[in-house]
Amino acid sequence: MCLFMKNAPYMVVEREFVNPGKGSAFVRLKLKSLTTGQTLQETIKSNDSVEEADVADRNAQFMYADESDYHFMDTENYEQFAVPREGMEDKQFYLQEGHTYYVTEWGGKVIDVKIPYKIVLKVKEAHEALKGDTVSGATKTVVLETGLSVRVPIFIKQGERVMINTETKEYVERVNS
Amino acid sequence: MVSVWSVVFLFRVAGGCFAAGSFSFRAFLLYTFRMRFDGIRARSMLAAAVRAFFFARNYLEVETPLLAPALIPESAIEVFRTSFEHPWRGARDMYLAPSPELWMKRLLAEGFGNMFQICKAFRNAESLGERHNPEFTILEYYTVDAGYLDSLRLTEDFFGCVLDAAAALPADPGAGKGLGRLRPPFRRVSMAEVFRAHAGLDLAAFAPRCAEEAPGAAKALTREALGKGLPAKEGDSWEAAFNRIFVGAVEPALPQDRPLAILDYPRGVRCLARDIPDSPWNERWELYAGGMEIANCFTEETGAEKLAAYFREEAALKRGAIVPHAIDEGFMALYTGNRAAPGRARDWRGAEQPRPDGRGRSDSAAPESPVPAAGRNAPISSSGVAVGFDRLLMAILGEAAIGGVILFPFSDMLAPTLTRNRG
Repeated sequence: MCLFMKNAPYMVVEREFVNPGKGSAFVRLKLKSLTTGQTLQETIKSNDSVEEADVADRNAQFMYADESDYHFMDTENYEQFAVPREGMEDKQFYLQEGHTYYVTEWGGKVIDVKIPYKIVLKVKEAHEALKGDTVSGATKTVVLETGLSVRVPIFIKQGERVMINTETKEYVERVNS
Repeated sequence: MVSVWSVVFLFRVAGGCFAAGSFSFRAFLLYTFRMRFDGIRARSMLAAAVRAFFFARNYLEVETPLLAPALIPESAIEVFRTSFEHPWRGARDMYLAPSPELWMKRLLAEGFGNMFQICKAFRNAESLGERHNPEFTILEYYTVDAGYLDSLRLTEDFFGCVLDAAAALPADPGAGKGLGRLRPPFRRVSMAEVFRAHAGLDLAAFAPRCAEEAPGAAKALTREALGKGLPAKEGDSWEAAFNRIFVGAVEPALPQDRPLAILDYPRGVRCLARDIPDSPWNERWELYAGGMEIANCFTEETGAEKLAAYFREEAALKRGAIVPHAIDEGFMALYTGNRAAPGRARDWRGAEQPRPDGRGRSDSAAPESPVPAAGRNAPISSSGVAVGFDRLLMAILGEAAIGGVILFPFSDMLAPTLTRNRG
């Protein structure tokens, strides 16, 4: 989500709802300027009015990534466009070829690619767990198809598919079939 | 008492996995699902520890309605509305209780003495975040003839018992790191002190002593905050101005190494806590553990006029709520219309409670109310504490999100409809 504050567009990087119990509820916002990249902390009352920045959303299919860009295709008009990796380096772990994402633009520039809350990824590399290895907390680190490393229970094998929470970067469950 | 359970547990896991000389996959699976398993065990452990602690001190466990036709007016809290469908008399609005407070105070007024309850509470229109689930668990306990400082000592004892019980949980490298941050004694600081330390602001100079002073004080506080570069917005009420600074600047800076009790809240934040005479504060504390608000306590206000003013002012604000609800006027009748049993009608300092009608009329003369008044006695002095049971579990297990301690988190139940899955 993007807000227009102090005469500039800001992207909401983090938001935390705070309700002191007896009294007004607030949202603590961490904002990132879309123009300068600077971050800003704001405390907004939950019924304060804020202006949403005039940004446009479109659906686009992720095609491939190269060294500098992510390449997408608009699913409505088949227009192809590139999104620089810069500023969205972490997205590479969640973009899957052929999948469709919500892409947000402001002033003709892509400023955000929305990643679903939970995604399913294939395990690319997993070492076999050692028998009786209960010391390491019964988890191991595996590498998923997008290159993301996560800790999973030791019964997860190479080639299996697992659900990942993209906010916490944590394993959720094994996905069968 | 350290970890008899954990030793037993480890033996059970080891024994289970290698029973009959071979590796048992089923037992091992159980162990790998330990996080969820731990959550279940810890919740059960905590409930048992609560009961053991309060039973040992002769507190009565009570159960009060979750579904009610009228509620306490709390303008900061939105509620859930549903309806009771009578088979032939039609429907009637009902609400899910946001806390058991008024029901427990009715029982107090009836003379049941010290009591506690573990129950569900429901709060609507809160963001589904790290610390909120619309349906959550409250532990609430009341001590008769006690003040907020007595409750603070009781809560320290309670935390000590909980930590002993938690030590018996199966050890996990990740979990348990929060335990140290729960250990009593609590650090005690006043609200004025945390404002001075973390906002550089002398709150006493800007805190109103009565409702009439609030508008002027709000302007002054906002001006002061803007001048100091603190979060502030022109037009805020005093409560909003105070909370904006507290939430934006003070709370994030609170020390997290030990439990922190912030005492003496400003009267400008309206609640049912008793005022401290000749000051702008009231007898209220909130407990923070690991930077998270975990408990709230008052010396309960018993003055009929103060209570009536609270109900009147909050009920007026409630009319503008997203979900307006009927107000529990029957509770007010306890304070204004009912006869007190001898020896009960006094405040916690031992002073006689004024009886507004002066004649001690009976229940039948009490104002019409959607909820029948439960007691014949006037309110008795007490101090009550509400603890976020789920948040306490989070702190014990070192969980960052409330979803980690709730077996079926609300956000997960909604997930299929909330998330856009475009696979």
